Amino acid sequence: MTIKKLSKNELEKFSKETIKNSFGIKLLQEQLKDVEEQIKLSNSEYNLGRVSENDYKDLKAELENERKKFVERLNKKIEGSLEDVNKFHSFVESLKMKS
Amino acid sequence: MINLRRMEENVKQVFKVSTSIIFLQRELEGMLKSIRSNKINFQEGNIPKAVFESMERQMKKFSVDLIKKTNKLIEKDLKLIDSIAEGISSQKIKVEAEAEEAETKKEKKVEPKPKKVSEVKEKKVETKSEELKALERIAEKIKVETKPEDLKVPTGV
Repeated sequence: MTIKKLSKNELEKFSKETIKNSFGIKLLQEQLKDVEEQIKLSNSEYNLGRVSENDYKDLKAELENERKKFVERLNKKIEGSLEDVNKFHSFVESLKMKS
Repeated sequence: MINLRRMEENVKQVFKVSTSIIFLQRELEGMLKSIRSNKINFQEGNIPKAVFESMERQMKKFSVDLIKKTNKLIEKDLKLIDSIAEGISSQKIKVEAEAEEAETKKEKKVEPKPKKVSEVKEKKVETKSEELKALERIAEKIKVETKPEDLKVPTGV
């Protein structure tokens, strides 16, 4: 009978990567929140008549584009992290033995 | 927002449980080695059959217990890994779905109300009667302007 072993290196790698990825996700979420705040601010500035329509449109388009980019990056990061977690999940599952 | 503290806690738990799995696997590996060496000892005639059999029985029983314990921990580990995966996937932002939803809302606003069949029919009738009225007016004019003599075909050419 051979045992498929879980190595300490693998476990450490998984733990470090998961924590690192979670921080990465958090950072992107914070940046996305900033952009969304800016969008809200530009909307209220326009509603108060402090910004011309053209300037507002340009700024809004720019900010929306930035928001879209952050969302894409965030989703990509989440996908990558999930892939790592799922890989580790399958590995741990393969460690099960028949008694 | 992702809950970093919960994530960290789950990762710590996975680390703890997985470390126990590693120790159990080492123990099981040692036990399997002992079973093999016990067999060799018996084959070489170093130990009597009764001792060999009793030791093998005991070690095999212990191995089965170890396997059961390991499998239980693996199950626990898998649940923890699942909760990590869930914590990550719940952070996904549905871009396309949101955009599509917004688009359909816009379309719904712009879309004119479909006319009722009765309304359409009424309108058609209206235009028909107007046309008829016009035709009647033209016919009346022709009647007035045209004398019966005008309609006579000249004969005797």
